Amino acid sequence: MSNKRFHHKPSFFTVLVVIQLAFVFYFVFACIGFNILISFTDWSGLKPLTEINLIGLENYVKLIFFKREFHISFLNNMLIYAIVVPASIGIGLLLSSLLHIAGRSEPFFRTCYLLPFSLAYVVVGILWLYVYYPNIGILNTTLKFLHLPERHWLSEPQTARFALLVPMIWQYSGFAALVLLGGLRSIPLEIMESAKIDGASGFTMFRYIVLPHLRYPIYFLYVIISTWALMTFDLIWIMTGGGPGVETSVLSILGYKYAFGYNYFGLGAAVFTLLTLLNWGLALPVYFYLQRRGV
Amino acid sequence: MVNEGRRRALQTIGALVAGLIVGGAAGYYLKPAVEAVKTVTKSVTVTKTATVTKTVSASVTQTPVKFEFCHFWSAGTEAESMKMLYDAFKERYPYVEIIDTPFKDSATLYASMRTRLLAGNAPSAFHAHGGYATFQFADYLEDISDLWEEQGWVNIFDEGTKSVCRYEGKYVAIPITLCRCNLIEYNIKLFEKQGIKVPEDVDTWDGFVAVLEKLRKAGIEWPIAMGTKWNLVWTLMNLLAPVPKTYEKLCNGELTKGDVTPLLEKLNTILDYTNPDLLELTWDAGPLKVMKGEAAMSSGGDWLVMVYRAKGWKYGEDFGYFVLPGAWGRCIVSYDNFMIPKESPTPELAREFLKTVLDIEVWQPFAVFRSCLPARTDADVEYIASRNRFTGDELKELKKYGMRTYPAIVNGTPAGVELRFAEILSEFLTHRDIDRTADEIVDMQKEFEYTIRWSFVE
Repeated sequence: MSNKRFHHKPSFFTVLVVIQLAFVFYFVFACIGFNILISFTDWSGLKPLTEINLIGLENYVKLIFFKREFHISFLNNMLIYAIVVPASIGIGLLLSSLLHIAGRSEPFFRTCYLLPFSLAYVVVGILWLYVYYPNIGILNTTLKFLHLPERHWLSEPQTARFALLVPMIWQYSGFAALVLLGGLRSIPLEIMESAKIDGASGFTMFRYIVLPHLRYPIYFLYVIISTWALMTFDLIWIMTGGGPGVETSVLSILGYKYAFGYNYFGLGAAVFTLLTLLNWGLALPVYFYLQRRGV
Repeated sequence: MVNEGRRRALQTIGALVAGLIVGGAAGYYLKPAVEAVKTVTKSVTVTKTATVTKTVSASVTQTPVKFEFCHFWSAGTEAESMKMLYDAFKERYPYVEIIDTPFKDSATLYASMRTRLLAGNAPSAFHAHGGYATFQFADYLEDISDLWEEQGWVNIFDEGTKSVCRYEGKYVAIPITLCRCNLIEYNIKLFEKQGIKVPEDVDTWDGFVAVLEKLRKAGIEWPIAMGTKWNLVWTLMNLLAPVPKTYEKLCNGELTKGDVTPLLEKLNTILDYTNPDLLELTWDAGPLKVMKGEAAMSSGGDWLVMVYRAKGWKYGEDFGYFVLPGAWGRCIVSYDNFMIPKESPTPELAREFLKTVLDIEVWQPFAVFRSCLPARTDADVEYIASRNRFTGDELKELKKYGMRTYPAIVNGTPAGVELRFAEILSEFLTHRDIDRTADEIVDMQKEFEYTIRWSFVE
């Protein structure tokens, strides 16, 4: 009986594994590989692949050394990364602490905090447009009421760049709060109580007990939120379209514009390859660290 | 025993899933072959029907022929106008089953067409903007020069219109709508109240600026209303219409700083009188602000006329139009073309479709409905003027001054140039540095490959 089972099991599961591998190969490796391949060509999207010209690193050289819009988009991506990731995790930590001590009202507040995360980026973009609109927007209406100067939040490069960060933080911090709440709940009460008896201050308990316990959830959030932040497209597309000019453009918008707006598929693919490398460079080390730790 | 049962259940589910995948894949790959056989049979039937007689035999009626048309007139009046064309076609060829494939915009349609044409899965016919947008597909398009000759279309359109359908001497498309981009719409009652006469008071640049100033002094802070970065490009075309030599350089990618600077100076003046929040508004913001009384004029093509009408404003009573000094009779036109792919499954039927939509009996009511520029020289002036006063007035203008058409930036320049202009001008709106913007425009031209040489100089 056991021999028969042993004989059947591998063949059945081998089929499943092969199907899975085929899907992964096609939808992950082949797509990424194709993107990298055309980034070394001048493909316009219409010529058959047999007729495209290989141009080596020309697209990359053009982007890195000559394209101002690439420089602006890259810096905007880094700005989003540098502000959105820590701010979302920081606010998430604050919210999760509040939820932790909220008692019976916790389910209500938890739902409220998580609600923005359940919305599509396009919906979030439109919602926040109503905050920033020049005449009817909530922000300018409030400023007007307080007799403070109004601004064109999304038309001025200085304000538009930062105005876009707020909805991202608003959306991600609820998710961060939920993940961190799980971490907070896993801290054994005995440790906290012994620390209290030993006379540890609130900050000391937070620094030496809470934070070390939240290390893995924070690393996990870092990987997830930094990936979302770097890949962001819809929200910016809806709110500013990358404008005024290219002042709020990011790499995903630039790559799309090159490929589908200019018919420079090679150049667009080069932007996306660089974006993927950037994302891997920033998120993968932490991801592998978590994997090694079995998280 | 339990394990045995579980294993069998798993095996059954696995087999079902594998069966579904294999069956689905086989069905998907076998479908084109089956369709191809059907198509060949149907094409033959259509050819016979079309050439021998237009009456439909009973046998043909029982086996409808599929005709797929891809377009981006997917909403509002555009969708209604597309239905007008379908109805006319269906009336002439009732056995045809029209497969309507609308796309939300031109970019989405082009992306889909690229994939489909490359894969040999072409629709019967499709829609694209004229000029460069059409020519990007030139290698995949049917040469319909014989149809142009046979139907006499070569004699009824002006050279500008023909040039956006002709690639390397061969006609590959037909023009279906012509949207004029260089128009300024104004509130007639407001102008009358301020004692401003059109066209007398706006017939010189200084006169136009004086009108703007007068309106501001009358309490309208922003006399010209615009919405979106694209509106800046439409305004640029308004400024370029009187100077075809400069516009020709723009379309050929040969603008110099000397050409651009005076244009930007004029644009800067206009922007001094334009609502500064335009980048945060929608494309129809111009007419909406005029109708609310917040502005006196909007700057943009006849698609803005449609907005006024949709809100119940009457042309000639509530709003009128004028062009910037020196642009009477000159039309910068955004073209919509229809074309047949080489691999169209029903090429003969597609030819019948093109013939139908350009038939004067079908095209004229369509043009009246769409408020298209009446570009056909054989258009019935009385018919048009009695049904659409705006188009009738345009027709009179063109008869008076002599019509000259030039392709809009979207038609006359490589893909992406219009977007770059929109971006550069929207930045100009924020910093107003003429020198820097002139440099950016001149440099921008190096990013693109201008493969067509236009000649607009009269």
